[in-house]
Amino acid sequence: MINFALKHIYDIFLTTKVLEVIILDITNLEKLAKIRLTEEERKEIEKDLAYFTTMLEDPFKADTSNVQGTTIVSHTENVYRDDLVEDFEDLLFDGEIIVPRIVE
Amino acid sequence: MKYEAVIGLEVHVELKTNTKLFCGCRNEFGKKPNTLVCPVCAGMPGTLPRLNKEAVNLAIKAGIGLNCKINKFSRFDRKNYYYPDLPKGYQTTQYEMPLCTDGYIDIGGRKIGIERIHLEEDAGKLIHEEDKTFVDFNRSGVPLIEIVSRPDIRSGEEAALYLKKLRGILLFTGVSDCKMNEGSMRVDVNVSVRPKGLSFFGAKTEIKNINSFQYTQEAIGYEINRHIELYENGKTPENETRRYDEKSKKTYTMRAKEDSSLYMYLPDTELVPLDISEEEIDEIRKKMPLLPEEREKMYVKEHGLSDFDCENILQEVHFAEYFEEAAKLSKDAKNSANLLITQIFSLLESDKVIKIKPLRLAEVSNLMTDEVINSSTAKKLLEKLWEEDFDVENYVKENKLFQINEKDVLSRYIDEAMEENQKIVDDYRKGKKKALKALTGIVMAKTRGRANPRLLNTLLNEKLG
Amino acid sequence: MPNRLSISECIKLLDNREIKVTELVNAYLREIENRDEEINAFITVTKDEALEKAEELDRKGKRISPLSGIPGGIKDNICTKNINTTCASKMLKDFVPKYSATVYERLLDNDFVMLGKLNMDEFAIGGGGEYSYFKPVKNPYNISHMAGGSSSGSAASVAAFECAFSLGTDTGGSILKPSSYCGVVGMKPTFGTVSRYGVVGFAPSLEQTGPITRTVLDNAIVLSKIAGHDEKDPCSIKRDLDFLQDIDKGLKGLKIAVPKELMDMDVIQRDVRKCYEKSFEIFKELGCQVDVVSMPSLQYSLSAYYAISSSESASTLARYDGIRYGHRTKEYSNIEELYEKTRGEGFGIDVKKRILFGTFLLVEKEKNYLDKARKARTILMNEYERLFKEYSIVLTPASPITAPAFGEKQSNALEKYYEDIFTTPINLCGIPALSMPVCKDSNGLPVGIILSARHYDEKTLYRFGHAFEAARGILK
Repeated sequence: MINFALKHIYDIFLTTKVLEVIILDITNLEKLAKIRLTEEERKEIEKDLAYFTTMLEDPFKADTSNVQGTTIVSHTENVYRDDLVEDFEDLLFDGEIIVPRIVE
Repeated sequence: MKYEAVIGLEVHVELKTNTKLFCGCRNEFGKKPNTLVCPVCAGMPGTLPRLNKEAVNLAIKAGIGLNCKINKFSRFDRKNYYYPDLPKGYQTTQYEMPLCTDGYIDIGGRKIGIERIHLEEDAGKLIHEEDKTFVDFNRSGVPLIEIVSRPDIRSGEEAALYLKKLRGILLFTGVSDCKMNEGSMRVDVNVSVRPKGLSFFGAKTEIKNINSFQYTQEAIGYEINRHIELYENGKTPENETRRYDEKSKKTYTMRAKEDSSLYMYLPDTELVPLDISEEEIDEIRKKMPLLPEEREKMYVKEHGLSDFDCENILQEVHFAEYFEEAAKLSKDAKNSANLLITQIFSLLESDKVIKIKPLRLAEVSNLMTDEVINSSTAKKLLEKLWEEDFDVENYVKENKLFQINEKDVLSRYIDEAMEENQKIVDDYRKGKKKALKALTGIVMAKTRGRANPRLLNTLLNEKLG
Repeated sequence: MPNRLSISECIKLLDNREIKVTELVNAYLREIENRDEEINAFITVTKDEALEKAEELDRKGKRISPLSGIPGGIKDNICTKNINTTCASKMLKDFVPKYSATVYERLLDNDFVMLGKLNMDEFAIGGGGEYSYFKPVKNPYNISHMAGGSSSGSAASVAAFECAFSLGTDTGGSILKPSSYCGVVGMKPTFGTVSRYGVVGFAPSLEQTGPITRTVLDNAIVLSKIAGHDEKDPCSIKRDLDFLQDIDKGLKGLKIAVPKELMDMDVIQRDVRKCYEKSFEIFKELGCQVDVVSMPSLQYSLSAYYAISSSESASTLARYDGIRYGHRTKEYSNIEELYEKTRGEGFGIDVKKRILFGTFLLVEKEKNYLDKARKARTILMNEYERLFKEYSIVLTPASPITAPAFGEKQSNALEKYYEDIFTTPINLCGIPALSMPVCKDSNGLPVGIILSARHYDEKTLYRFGHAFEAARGILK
């Protein structure tokens, strides 16, 4: 789904060695994230994301064998609520919620 | 060539909790749109989920009832997609680590595997009008479990059987009310067909949101034939999502199947993981009610009920409880079961509430067993009891509804009937055996339905010679 | 000018009835009026409510809490019932929540005086304070420089004496960095210490709310009042909340770790390095031992942080879709267009960048960068844990640079993100950290350091900070 075009660039910041940069298929990402970009934005983002992706290679240098990933630094588990009704008294929406007709 | 269907079911069931999965809003059906919403289930900025303990307990109950392994460690994930009824832009569900795995349902000798049961939240509802769509978030956040079967099912009949068993277990464990018409039980079907004996999977179609077990069976039947026909004609079915039209009894294309790799999943870090101890599971296991299968065994063994009886009584939890209560008070529980199924069930309205006390059913049944009243009186009594409660024995006494067991009394009624209906008697003697039934009816009417049917039959046969 | 006083000084005066709450509040409101047009720290000033509350407190006379009558400002991503909460975004520019964040309710329960909502980088994404939909926040030390972000208004308002304290939020340095750029004291507490409920975040696994003040003692006073278990936040923890108990104990014999890898980085500006080294001297004079230690895993922190925070943002910011609240595009013919235009118009460039990068990571299945990032996070945590067995704190600069000037061209995106090299490991590990100024650079801009400690050990950070502050004296 994503076109990986590999391009080599000099990264002037991290090191002076040649890095692989993944050029992302921005148009596809726009569709997935439901964000319409202007042409100008697309150019800027394309450039920046290319830099971002070079950075992503860093953790691959680490020895992660036998390491469990951390998703949350949680010091709790099994946090529950009792099944008791709490009505929200305020009117949450100003009126009906209407969207364009959806054809299923 | 011989074909074999490979069918898997994904069943969504709403849990019978007071409140939603992650907030204190009521879990109720049929309320005015957007009246059961709060900032949490409306996906307002900065709000956080709070997990309902009862929902977790019910999911564990389902897991136990469906012979699953209850995983000690599980976690919530976000399934990201955009739809107007999905307020947060993702559904909070369990993707990588579901609560229950590896169970099965026994459908009469064959085990249908259950891959997983996971806990998740329901979305809201869309109400379509001609030129616009309204969104109602009352259902948003209602707790669901999704029960995913292994592709072990081979026919529409088996699918219906699986669903019936599944529904029974969920009903009797109190996990869900499983009302398909209210959407608290929803069935998606995956069908593919392959040459028998081969292990590859054919093209898969998914049929979404089927409204009843009957339709599920029909839809699968139709779909299997459609696939076979395509293969026979050298074509392949599309991988797609279809819907079943109940009128034409056909399935139609809805959309191409989503590429599941495009679903964006991510661990939900607003919630903490679940770590369920063996003790907690045991605690729930101890409190598990008798499952339909166990009840069926008991009914057959202790009360001599037939498969037909069991199936009818085990349709609803309160039917079973009603029967068990009445059976305790009955001299002949099988007779009570008969009355329940043939008489009382025919009086039920759509709410399925039984308006007669189990004690009264037992009283009526016992009078029959003791040959104090006959079945037609029993029927009348039950109809009367449906309207108002009364002491059955007194009522029978006061209204002289005793069965006529005396030979001479009954003989008099028969003679009278024969005299008045000479033509029917002649017919019978000419060989019209049906005439016997007519005479029985006439005598029954004369006795206000009180004749002992066995005695009446003997006497009539004697007299007609 | 009472608004120049610290909170602890105000408390004495208020307790002794030497000043009225109204006087104090008026002093702050005057400062806002005089200066904020330039600084842009506030998005909403709740002047009438503030005066009303001040009068009520003066009438009542009784002070129920140290914070009673103390004027403060709230970052505009913290929900305040019936007061605009914009997240500095076009998406929410008219959003008025019907609920409050727990942390705001806690302050109200302590009778603080609400001055208003503070400017920030849109949705707390960005590090400069220039990515507000409304206006860029300027550094009170030099208005041609940035205030740092994303809690830019929170830091700038305290530095400019427009607030006695403020609340900021921190996902990857959003309290620590602007505090350092603006020369104030910022605390990012241990994950789970301050309730996240009602705080509009973008990466829940990394976020904490914390106080920004002008002194270390003030900071501890505010944190004591906002911290604590909240059943509305599943990650909220029950823990010891006495942050002041060790504050006067001094530092004799305590050990400080200085990561070698960061020392070696040539991206650190000369002035920053000088100030950083000066801080070693101050700590040594206070009786500490400063050791250079190796933390090789720090090199993974930036990428792990960007991977994790971006992917979480792509999901967390999905709710801004124009359906139920917030911005909705004017013209659309179908639902797809409604979504795409609404989100295209409603979000600023930095937010979009982050969401799109996160979306890429969520659909990228081949390399599984996210998995790697999460594992790097574990390695990093282990490394900190090992260090904290021997050392009380880890000491780093707050940023490789001082507040950059507006319009200063950065050579590429990475350079900008490198500003977060010292702060991101802190959020990844959920440990507490204190940012405070050491001295000024040659341009008169503050240079700060970050002290981080093991989980739940804010009290040690305050102990170090308090001693350091006294030894450092007035910022020079």
